[in-house]
Amino acid sequence: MSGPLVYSTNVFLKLLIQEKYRNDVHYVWCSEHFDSRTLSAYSSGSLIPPSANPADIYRELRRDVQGLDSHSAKIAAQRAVFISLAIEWEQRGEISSNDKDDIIWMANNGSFALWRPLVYVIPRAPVEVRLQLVPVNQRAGWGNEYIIPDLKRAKFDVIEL
Amino acid sequence: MLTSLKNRSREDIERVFASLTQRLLPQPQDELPEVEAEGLKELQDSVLAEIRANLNLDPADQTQTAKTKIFEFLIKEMSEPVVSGDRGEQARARLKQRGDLLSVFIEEKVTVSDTVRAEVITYPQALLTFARKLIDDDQFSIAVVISHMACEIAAERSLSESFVKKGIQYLEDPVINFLNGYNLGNDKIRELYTALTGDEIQKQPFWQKFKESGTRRNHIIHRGRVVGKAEAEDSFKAASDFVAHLKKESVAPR
Repeated sequence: MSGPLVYSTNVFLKLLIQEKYRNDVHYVWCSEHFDSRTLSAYSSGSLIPPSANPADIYRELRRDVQGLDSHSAKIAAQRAVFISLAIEWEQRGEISSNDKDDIIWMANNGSFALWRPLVYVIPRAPVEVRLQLVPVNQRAGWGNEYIIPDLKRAKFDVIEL
Repeated sequence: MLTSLKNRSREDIERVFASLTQRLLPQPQDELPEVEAEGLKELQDSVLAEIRANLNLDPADQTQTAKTKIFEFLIKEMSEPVVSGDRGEQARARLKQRGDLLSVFIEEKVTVSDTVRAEVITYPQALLTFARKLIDDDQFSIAVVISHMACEIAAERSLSESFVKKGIQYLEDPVINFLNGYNLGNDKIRELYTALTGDEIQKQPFWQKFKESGTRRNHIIHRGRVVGKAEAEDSFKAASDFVAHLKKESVAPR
């Protein structure tokens, strides 16, 4: 049974980039549960693996940021995300060349604090029609995962644990 | 240059790397336009195979370590035009000028690198800002260490400036080679600093706290000591006073 909230873990830099360069519209992957490990082993939510579980993503990022781990797998993947997005957005004419360079520069040179994880807490009802269920072949596991491609900032809260 | 991307424009190459990155992510962050999807996958496959070969990765290796190496390769390739040239400096200047939340994080770097010399004015302050954040995040021991890193960099800057002001910059490297770092808590280094600057820093009100903090820092690094918030705050205060004093001295006439 779905609850009243959905959750998404993202790094701080992503929040800033979406705010500054995407008109404060946010592209998020989310889950009906913050921590699938706390669920009954017989519930579908427990089938969400660590790579898609907001709590696990949060813990891993926080550990790497606090440890100033310059070889962090999670941070490397996030860095690659922003650089690739900047290139794609610029090639589609959605941001300027300078904006692209700025994002790439920040992704390479910004402080560790930019990689700290944030939990987006999203009330489900106002975004229900925007929730796109990810096809099972694109998910990390059997548990439900969702994408909201155009989440407005006013529709969610940000917390740090 | 990867063979499979030979004779392609820089724009094309960036597009292939960017779309390949998205494809490799467990949670892609964007949808590719349909027009790009045509024929792209085959090219991505060739590029990926070549990257794996360059990195000496087994084609079947799907471990996190292998993926991270591939991401690091892609990051380097996609960032190269911005990171290596004038465009990077221009981006940095633009970001600094913004004055918004994003600009706050530009000066905060946590690794001491060759770029330190180019950022001597703001780097100690950025490190102190970072130390403050670490205290707020309950990371007390590392905050003490970072605070002292700020002090050493401030001292390095001050000594370097002093050699220039005295017209003996040619002596800087040979003299500094005799020293073990830039910790002014070390009497030999402090005496050199005083001789060059005329600043008897050991008479400053913060000096005793600074010395105590230096001992604390050494115990953390060499003995694995764990400190609490009060001690971290003491170190942060002493380091902030120290950096502020050196900054003040550096602009004073000598």
